Amino acid sequence: MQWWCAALGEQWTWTWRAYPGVWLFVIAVGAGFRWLAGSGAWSRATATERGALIVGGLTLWASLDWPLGPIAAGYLASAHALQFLIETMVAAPLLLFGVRSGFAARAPRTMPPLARRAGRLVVHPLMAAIVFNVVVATTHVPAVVDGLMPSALGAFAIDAAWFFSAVLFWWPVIMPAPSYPHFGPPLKILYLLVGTLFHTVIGMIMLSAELPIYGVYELAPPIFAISPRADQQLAGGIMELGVFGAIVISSAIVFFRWANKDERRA
Amino acid sequence: MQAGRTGASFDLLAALVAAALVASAACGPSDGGRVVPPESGATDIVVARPSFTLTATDGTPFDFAARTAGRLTFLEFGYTNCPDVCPVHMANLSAVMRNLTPTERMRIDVVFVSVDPDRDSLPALRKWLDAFDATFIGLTGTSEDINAAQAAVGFGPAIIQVADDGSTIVSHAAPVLAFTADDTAHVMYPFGTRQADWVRDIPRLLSKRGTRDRGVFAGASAAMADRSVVERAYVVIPVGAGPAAIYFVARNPTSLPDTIVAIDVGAIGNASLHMTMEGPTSGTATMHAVDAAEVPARGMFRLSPGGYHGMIAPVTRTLVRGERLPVGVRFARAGTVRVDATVITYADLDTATAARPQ
Repeated sequence: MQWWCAALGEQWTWTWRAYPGVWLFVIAVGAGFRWLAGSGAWSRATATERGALIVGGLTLWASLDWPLGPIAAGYLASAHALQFLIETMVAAPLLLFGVRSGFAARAPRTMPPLARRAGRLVVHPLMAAIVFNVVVATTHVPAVVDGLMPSALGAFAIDAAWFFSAVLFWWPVIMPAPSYPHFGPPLKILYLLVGTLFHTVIGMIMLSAELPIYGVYELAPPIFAISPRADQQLAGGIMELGVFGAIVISSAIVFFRWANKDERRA
Repeated sequence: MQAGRTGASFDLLAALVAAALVASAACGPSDGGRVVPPESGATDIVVARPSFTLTATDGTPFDFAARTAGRLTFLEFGYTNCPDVCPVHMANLSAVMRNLTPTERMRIDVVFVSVDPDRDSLPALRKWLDAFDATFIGLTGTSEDINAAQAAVGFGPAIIQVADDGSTIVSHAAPVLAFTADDTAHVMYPFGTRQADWVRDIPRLLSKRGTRDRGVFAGASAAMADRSVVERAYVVIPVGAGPAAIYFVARNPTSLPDTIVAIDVGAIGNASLHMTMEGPTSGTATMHAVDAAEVPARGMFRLSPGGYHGMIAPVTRTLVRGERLPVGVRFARAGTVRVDATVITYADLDTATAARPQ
């Protein structure tokens, strides 16, 4: 039994496989977010936040477990891109949104001062954007992908890096603390747009490359009768449209919340 | 594993052993350097283009040495139920071939020999290859003939076993052998070869020249050098419902003149010889059917646009660019000489016919 999905070079079958590492990871993430929210958070959360928490957890699990997990790890670059999209642009922001009320209620009074200072530095918009983009860039380098995906530990490292760096990236936009007075809604929208520009570059490279970029997918046992290049172009399209769509939607949410707040003030 | 499902596995050990066998027989490239760039992951070998005859997917005998002589030929042994190595090699080769120029493409054969004749019927083999490239040549035969073909390139025979659960396990040598114009494979490509490797190496492999390639009868087998030969044959896809043109070069190495008397393109349609003549007014041309065209002794005769050419009318099915059509050219003295014509478009014509005669 494999503990995490990896590229094994085996013929794909629709026979279910268990990946206990995925279950443990999802449970650990759930526990981590529960800790962020603090006790009694569920009762304090709005229905929307509860829904976001559940959907965020489920999408994270679905993106990592069978069948998407193993297909993404060793067969299709497009599945890998979809997994990336779900982990970083769906699960991470939804989970954060789900605990924001709970965190707002507990963070200021229960966080040790050192943790507060460290957290403030790590989730500073500039730092978060840099960390997220460095992770995204590094984990899309062909040598890194081809080197890490064949091992469970390597594939886990990529998935974990994506998810946690995405949590950092979304934190300044979604979470109420720490507060950065100058980081208002207009800057948040700009942050989202600029902070994901690198995704556009990666997507464009995948869309326009004449040859398959990643050996792990080029040499994978065929699945769904899609050529490696078509698969790569589909992956590029998912990166381009998926990330853009997520950013547009989240920017719209930030904008309308801001507008509604102004209206209420008026 | 489910009973009845093809649980085919690839035995890397078999491939390594086979590779070692070939490599151990190698004495290094004859020109003292690698045929392919240093960064290529291909393995250096020296294997002469083997002589074996198997059955092509159209049911006709295929003499490998004769039909591929002087051409860059990629030879792979595999089977259509192969879950990984064979389809990946074929998919990558077909992807690379699509990006070659028509001239380059026309100088390359990809030959896939099935090592699983019981399950790979001719239609099944053709259908499988068509999924990659309709021009890929599929061969099969009896187990003895296939084993002999593998032995001819230094590979051990494929081993086919039925597992307890009913699945079939096939172990076979995986490398793709690349025979160049000098009728020698200087390199073979293991599993793991990527499209970037093929793209980088194919121009080098195409530029590899050899004694036979420099000679007058490049493209023809040694066995055929004592009679007229046909090379560089093209069928041009017609515009609309019009006739399709056939162009080729006929060479006559003998001391007596020979004559082209007929062209046979099988079920594609009725082919006949024609000649383009200048019309009564300037800038116009007319075509006339002719009975024969003479190929001078120790000379050549070219069927080309604006001159003598073959014509297929009517064309009974849609022709696909890059497709290879078996064409028989009947000579008065040499008899019928068979050649694979490459299907091109009128847009390809200038490039194709301007290519240096080999």
